Amino acid sequence: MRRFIRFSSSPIRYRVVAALFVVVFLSAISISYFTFKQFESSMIHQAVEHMADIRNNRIHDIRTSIQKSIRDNERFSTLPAVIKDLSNHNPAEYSETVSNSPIHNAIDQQGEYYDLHDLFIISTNGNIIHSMGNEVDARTNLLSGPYKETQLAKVFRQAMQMLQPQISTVAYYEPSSEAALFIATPVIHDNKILGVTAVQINWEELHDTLTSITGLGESGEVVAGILKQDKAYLAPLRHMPSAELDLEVTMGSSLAGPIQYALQGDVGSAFDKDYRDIDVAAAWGYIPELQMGIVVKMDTEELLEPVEQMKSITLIIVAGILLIAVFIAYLLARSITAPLARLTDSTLRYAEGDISVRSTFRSGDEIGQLATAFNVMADHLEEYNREIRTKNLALIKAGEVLEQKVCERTATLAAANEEIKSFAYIVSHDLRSPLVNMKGFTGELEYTLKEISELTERIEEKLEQRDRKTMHRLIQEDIPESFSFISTSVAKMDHMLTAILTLSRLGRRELHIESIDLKPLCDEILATLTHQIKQTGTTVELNTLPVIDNDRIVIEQIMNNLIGNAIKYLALDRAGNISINAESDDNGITINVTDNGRGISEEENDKVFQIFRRGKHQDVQGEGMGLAYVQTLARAQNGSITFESEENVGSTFSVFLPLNSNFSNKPEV
Amino acid sequence: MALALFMIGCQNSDNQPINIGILHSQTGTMAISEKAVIDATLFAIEEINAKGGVLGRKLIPVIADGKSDPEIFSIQAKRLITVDKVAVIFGCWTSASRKMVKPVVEHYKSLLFYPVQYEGMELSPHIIYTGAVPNQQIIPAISWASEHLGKRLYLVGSDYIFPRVANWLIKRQAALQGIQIVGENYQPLGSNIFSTAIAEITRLQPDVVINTINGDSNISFFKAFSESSLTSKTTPILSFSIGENELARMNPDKMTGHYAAASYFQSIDSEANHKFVKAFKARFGQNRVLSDAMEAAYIGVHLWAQAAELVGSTENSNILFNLRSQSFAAPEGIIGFGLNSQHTWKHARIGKVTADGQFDIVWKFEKMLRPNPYPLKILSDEAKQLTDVLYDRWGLHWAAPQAE
Repeated sequence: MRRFIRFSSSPIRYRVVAALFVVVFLSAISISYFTFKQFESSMIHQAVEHMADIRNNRIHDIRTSIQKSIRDNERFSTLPAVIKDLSNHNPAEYSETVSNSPIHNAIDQQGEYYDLHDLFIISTNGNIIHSMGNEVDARTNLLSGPYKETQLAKVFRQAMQMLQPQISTVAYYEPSSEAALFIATPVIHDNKILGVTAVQINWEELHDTLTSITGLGESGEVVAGILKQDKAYLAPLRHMPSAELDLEVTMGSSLAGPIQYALQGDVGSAFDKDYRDIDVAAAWGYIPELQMGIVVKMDTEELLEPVEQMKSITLIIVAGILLIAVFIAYLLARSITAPLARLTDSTLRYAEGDISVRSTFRSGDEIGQLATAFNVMADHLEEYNREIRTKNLALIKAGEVLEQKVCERTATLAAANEEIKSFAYIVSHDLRSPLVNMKGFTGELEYTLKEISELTERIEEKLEQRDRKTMHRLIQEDIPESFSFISTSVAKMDHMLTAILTLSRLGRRELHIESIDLKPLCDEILATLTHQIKQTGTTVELNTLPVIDNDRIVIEQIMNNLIGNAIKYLALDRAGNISINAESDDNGITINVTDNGRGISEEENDKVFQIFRRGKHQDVQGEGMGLAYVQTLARAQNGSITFESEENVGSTFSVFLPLNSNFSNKPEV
Repeated sequence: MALALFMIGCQNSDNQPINIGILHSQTGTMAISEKAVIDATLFAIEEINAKGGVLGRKLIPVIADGKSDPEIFSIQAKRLITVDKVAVIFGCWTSASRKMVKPVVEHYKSLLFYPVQYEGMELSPHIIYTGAVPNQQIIPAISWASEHLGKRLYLVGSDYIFPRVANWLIKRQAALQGIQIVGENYQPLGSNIFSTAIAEITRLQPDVVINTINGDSNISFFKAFSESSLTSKTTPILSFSIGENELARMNPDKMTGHYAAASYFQSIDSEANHKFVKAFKARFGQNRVLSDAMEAAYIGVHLWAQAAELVGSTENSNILFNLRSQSFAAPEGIIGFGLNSQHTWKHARIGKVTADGQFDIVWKFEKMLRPNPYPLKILSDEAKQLTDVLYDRWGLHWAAPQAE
């Protein structure tokens, strides 16, 4: 499975080549196997059939030739000259000397006409009264003479007994010094048997008919065999120098199977071993006339040579097909992967930002469609990109406009702020002189009133009781009371003016940046508040507090106010818990002071940073300027203060101070 | 795979069975001889089917009953060819029946394998004769008889074509070999009256009686013979139409010592014959016997199948052509097919009846004999003249009218 997965994730070209190779290999192998088997069986069939055809023809040829000899001999047996010769024969006058009668000359002429090797005229008592060949057998007696054991003598006796033509087997015939066979026919005339005519056929002549190896290739041959007792005598006609029937094979032996079948009278064909113990395709049959078996055979090796050739051709073809298949597969794979590679290249270039890239691949196939789709996609993306850029430009423009407006507004605001600041300064500063005057002159008036009171004491007695009482109440009580109110208000006003002045000064103060470790700073502040902390049983948690670059006074002010507020506004019903931490990041530092105090109700949220505003808890002392100062200080550094709070749960005040890059922007004066 | 199946399919596309006609008398006077021949034919067919049939096609035997009547043989032959579409007919026993079937097979260009020794003088291109012709049976037998039994012959036969022609030939042969024919007697087929013949034989005292009686008339003849003063010792009978089957129907005592001439006897001592006899008995029963005609019928079926297989067709003309190079390792020995004669090369044997109903082979010609339907230099015109005369005499039949 893993292998398959590995295969299925290998490059397409390898997969196509591999798949096509396997498919073509299997089909080529199976088709060629079947074709080859078909061819082989048809070749074997043909080979055997070919042998059988030749066998049939040879048997037919030999039989026809013998049949012709039988007919020729029959014709001789009815020749008037032969009948006359036999009729004239008188055994008593028979001598072994050769007679040269005209009758015999006539007969010999006929014999020569029929191209006979030898022709015999034999009397009923076995005298050869004429022999055309005139060999040593002429004028001997076949019943008692030297040749009475020959095949000629035998067929003579058989013809006489059976009253029909007889054919001898092939055997060595001494008078002719060669193998021969004889055909004897009784001469019947006028209901009498006069004798026998016989013809001699030399084995060599028949052998020539058999020897023909036409159509038998390099190794083919015809083997003839006869059976004597239990031995077969063969005349192999090609691979043996002698044409005599002198190769001996014992019947039942494993050699030369076909000739043994033939000699048993069987007709057939098969693959077998011949007398040389070589594999052959053989067809065998039997010639009744000669009591002879013949085998037509060819070496299997030669016959099946085309099969062997076919085998190698098939292998070459299969190899060729495979090569072509691999080549086609490679081309096919490349036709798929090359455009894909180009498309991948285009896509990568596109991905790297060259959005003008388009695939130049054009085709109607799936890859062509993919390329077209890629181009369409690229077109769309480009258009989309252009739109975004246009919008971006518009945005930038709008931003610039906005910036300008902001600048303008900021300038306006700065001016307004400046006005307010100078106004505050003017108010606090300029209002002070009349207030000082009011303070001075009030003291003057008190002093004056003291003088008046001393004066009036002296005149008191002079006055009536009622007047004296009124005067006393006015001078001793009402006026001092008014003076007291005026003094209180002046003092309060002076206080407020001082606060405003302080506030305006805070905003304009020049910062002295130094490295401040927040931890000891907080510790110092807490030390000043030890009394309250102990009183309220508050725990203070100092978390991570970094070292920052800032104005020490500003930071002290801020922390003083925040920690002070936290302690001031602790809830009375539970132990206080204050946590201080600071987080610094790339933009600046955020200092958080968290308490579990009274919290700020929602309706008070807006008023937290207003000057002279104090929480609704009047039991707590304060002038209501603390958070206003903190805000002013923070803003002076382009920082900010925010808070989160929930009534009766607690508050967290967070001061954000930007990094000192902002300090270059000196607070405007 | 599909290709392979397709090829197998193609090879087997033409494997319909082949109908094979068997035409013999299952009833009537010839049934005694012919029923056994049917079995021998079936036996050969079964052997061939067991080896896969011919050209991969099974042989289906279609048996028709000739009812010992030549006319019915003719009708049945026509029916087998036209209705049953048989590829070949194996059949006939008497020459009378064969002569009636001959025009039918010639007309339809069919093929008849005829398994019985007969008188010859016939050469139909549509008949294959696997039985012996006179030069393979009668002439050697008469020669042998004249040498071994004596030269005074008495001829007795059924009154139909075979005995008449056979005896005509024997008389020709007798002239050539100095044999004397002392008397002649013919009885109609199926006749059981042989008193005249026996009386004549008793009176003439021939050296040997040549018997060409066919069918169950033989039972009557031998009965009459044994009831007379004649014995096989003094007057041996040499029969041409008696085989083991006929012997089995007769009292062996009455037969012992008589002779029969045939190509095949069940007692032939050869490996091929032992196998043949054993297989036949295994199939049809241990008490069954085999005879010359049965063996010839068996040869016929095998020759036909062998030729059809070699030529790759059951077409008659092809088979005929191919038969010319055929031989066969028959139970009687090797037999061959005649080159241009429609007949087979056969062996000649003389058997002497033994007490157990078999034949002791007393003589055998050393090699097979070439078939010659016109022996002794008889011209076909001469033979035709003889048979025509007989045909006319019997009222345009091939046998004398049967005894009532």
